[in-house]
Amino acid sequence: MHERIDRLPGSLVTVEQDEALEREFELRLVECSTLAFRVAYSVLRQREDAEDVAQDALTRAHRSFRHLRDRERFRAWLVRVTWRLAIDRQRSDRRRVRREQDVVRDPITDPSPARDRAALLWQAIDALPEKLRLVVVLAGIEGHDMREVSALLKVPEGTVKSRLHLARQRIRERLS
Amino acid sequence: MSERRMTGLGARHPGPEKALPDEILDREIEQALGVDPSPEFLARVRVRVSSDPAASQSKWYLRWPAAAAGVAATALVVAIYVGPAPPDTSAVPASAAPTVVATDSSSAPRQTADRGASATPDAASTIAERPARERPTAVPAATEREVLPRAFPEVLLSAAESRGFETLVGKVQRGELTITVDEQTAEGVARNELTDLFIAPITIRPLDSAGATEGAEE
Repeated sequence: MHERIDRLPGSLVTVEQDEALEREFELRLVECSTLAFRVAYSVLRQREDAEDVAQDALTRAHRSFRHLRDRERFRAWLVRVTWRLAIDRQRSDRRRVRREQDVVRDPITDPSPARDRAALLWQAIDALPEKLRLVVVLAGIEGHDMREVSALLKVPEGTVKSRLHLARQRIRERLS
Repeated sequence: MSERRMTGLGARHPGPEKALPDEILDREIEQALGVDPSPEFLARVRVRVSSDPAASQSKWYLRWPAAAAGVAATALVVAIYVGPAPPDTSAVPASAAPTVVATDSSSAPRQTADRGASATPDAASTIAERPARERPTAVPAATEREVLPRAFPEVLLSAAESRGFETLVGKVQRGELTITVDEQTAEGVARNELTDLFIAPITIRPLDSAGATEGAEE
């Protein structure tokens, strides 16, 4: 199913093939850059930081693109790597704590009562265990359905459903 | 009623905490996540990807033909200049030139690399052993031994011999000195059959007796 190009000893990879790879990567870049950004943003909630992490992830994806030419494989890989990089960054960056406690300062959030609602929502999402959080985030990005989230996380659809249900329950509890 | 229809999965687990339908909750989450990157984000990613050094390193296999050609060319050059000496070195071409290594006779160990006439390693015999492609080299110190290719035998001369030989070669090159070799010697050198030089003893006779003899002879 997945297209894979192995580096056989002595195999000749022509310049044309390399250019074709670059063109393919450009297509994936246009298609998936927002996904990477939003995954990072869901963790960091700072546009600049999220862009940095997404850039990092996309650069790594470019390095490994020879093994990631399949669209689904690429997206799943990108989501996992972006998520991990964002988590790492969040943990290593001490200043992030202050920002998280005061979402009001985030210029992206609307300066309205909805802002408080959004802050509460993010707090509820942040309180979720990582597995539940990732499912909620992916389901909330670009209208992914269960099958797509299942493909991105490489877990069965039933697992995604149960995780999503549990996550919603917990969020609801915190919001109420 | 309408709430149950909307909630889907949540409808199967209705509870008192369910004040928020799934769809509304999902919409809120989507709105919270519906943040787009800045317009220049994609351009920055492209720049970073194109200038990523690790990516170009990972494409080493794309350039292996060029690398292989370079290695082959280097090997060829090395083979030409540092290759083993021809086995038959008895014939000395006209353009043959010696390599002379000057060593300090007091400190450097004596080493006779001469294959044929090792008994008396004089200059003439070592010159005859040199292959044609060697160029004359005058080196002031014994460290030259490391520079010379190992395939050729080293010739060790004292510093005085080296200077004398260089003077000789220089005069010949400048045309100040003409060396003529008789046919017999030339053939001997060509056959690498060097024999001891025989110089007939010189007899000095008194002038008086010579004059008397001359008169007598006349």
